[in-house]
Amino acid sequence: MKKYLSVYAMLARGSIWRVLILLCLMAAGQCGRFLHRLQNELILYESHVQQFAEEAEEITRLEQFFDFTTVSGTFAAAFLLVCIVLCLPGCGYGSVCGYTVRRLRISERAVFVMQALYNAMVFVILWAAEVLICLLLCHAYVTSADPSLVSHQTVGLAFYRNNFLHSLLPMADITVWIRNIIMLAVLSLAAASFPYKQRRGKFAADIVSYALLTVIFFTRTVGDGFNTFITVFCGLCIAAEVIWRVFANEEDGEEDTPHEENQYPYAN
Amino acid sequence: MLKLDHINKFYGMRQALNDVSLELPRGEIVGLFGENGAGKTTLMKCIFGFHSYHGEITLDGEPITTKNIAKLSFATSEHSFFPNLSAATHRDFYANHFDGFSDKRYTALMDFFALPKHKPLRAFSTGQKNQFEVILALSQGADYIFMDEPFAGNDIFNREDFYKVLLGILEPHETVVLSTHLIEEVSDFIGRALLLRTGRIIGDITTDTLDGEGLSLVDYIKNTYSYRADRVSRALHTLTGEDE
Repeated sequence: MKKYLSVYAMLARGSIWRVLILLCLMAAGQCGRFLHRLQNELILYESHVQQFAEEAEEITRLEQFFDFTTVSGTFAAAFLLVCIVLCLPGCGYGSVCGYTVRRLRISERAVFVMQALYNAMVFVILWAAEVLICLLLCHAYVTSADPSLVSHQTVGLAFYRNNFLHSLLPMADITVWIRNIIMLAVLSLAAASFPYKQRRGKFAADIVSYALLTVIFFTRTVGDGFNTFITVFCGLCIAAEVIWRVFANEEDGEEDTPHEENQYPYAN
Repeated sequence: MLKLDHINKFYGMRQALNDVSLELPRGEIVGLFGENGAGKTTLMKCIFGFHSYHGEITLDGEPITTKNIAKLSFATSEHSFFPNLSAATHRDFYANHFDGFSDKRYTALMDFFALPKHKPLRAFSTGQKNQFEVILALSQGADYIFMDEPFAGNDIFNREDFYKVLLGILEPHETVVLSTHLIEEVSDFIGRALLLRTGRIIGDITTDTLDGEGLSLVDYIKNTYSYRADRVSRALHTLTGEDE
């Protein structure tokens, strides 16, 4: 068990502090913009509520706050940076760390699985942090807004009406839950395959393509079957390719370079 | 005992190792010599399973797998550490992963080389990277420590001091296999010399035998390679049209 935990600890020490910094920056960016806008809107609402009641009511709806303050854009940026951070452990730019990975007490495939599990854990942390931030922002809105603008259904309705919030926490929408779990699994595998391929001198485009696909298609309109099909189909194809390459294909990681020429013949 | 039995290795059509058979008992310091491209690095990589090969390599009668590979360690001038991690993180990883890790040896060598503990290794100088690579290999707790050109890029004082330290710290059961071109530097330090040429072992001799025959290691290597001392004067004559 210790030999597995040591690998896990090394992966965590190589990346977790970077992930935590990114989460803090993401939280600061989202909360800062949201709360600043909320404060301005409330001042505007209070001063003009009589004259511009309709207009004011329209712009201070909770679900619109998330669109106006680009919460989803900040999340997408943080997500891409987290993907980059997760690709780095196990890569040997400036070193051939594959020599170390391949002479551990566990196989390189076991290291790959551990890295994929670690990546999944980090993506879950990212998701949980974003859900928590969104719920806190909802709480800030509900407690600050004029009582005439909020009800006990305000938060629930926001998570139903806003595409980003609904994709993040789909509540009873099982299809989106399944899509999200597949996305998480594929991203974890693809990120783990990046250092695996890098150690073989190859570039893994899997994580790049699927991370971009996730950014484009994560925010899904309720009932959008095409979006779900694309993300799930591409995800399963990428996962199958990664698993085949790591587990079925007998790659021994050998750089099959030709034998070095004899440069310094001592004798004739 | 590490045993290599009829090892052959091909890169495409080119044969890199040609029927190499070898026994390496514990407690030896072995110098592995040969020209560039002789197969020294390939031989080491085959032992670790980094390359596929034909033949059989066993450690104490067992094939080398994840169960016994911890008995082998590797220091290479290509560097095998994780460049984004610090020396301290590597120490913790090795200490947790390899049961035989010697923290005492690690700390002593880190102090000896005065290496920074909390700086990412990518920020080390080439010499420091070499030193750290060797420290990890020596501290892992392996019985067989393979070093492939470990000090390429280090100054001579550093190298000589290190050889002295190495002789002082090695345990009787530890074997060091040192691949290098610095023959004269290691001639007083090794107990056995292996000579490779175009993938074949063409010489295998202990330094005690050499002493008995009154030969230096350099002379033995020159004789084995049929080194022609007049090749320089002939080349100069060809180039300048004059005698040396």
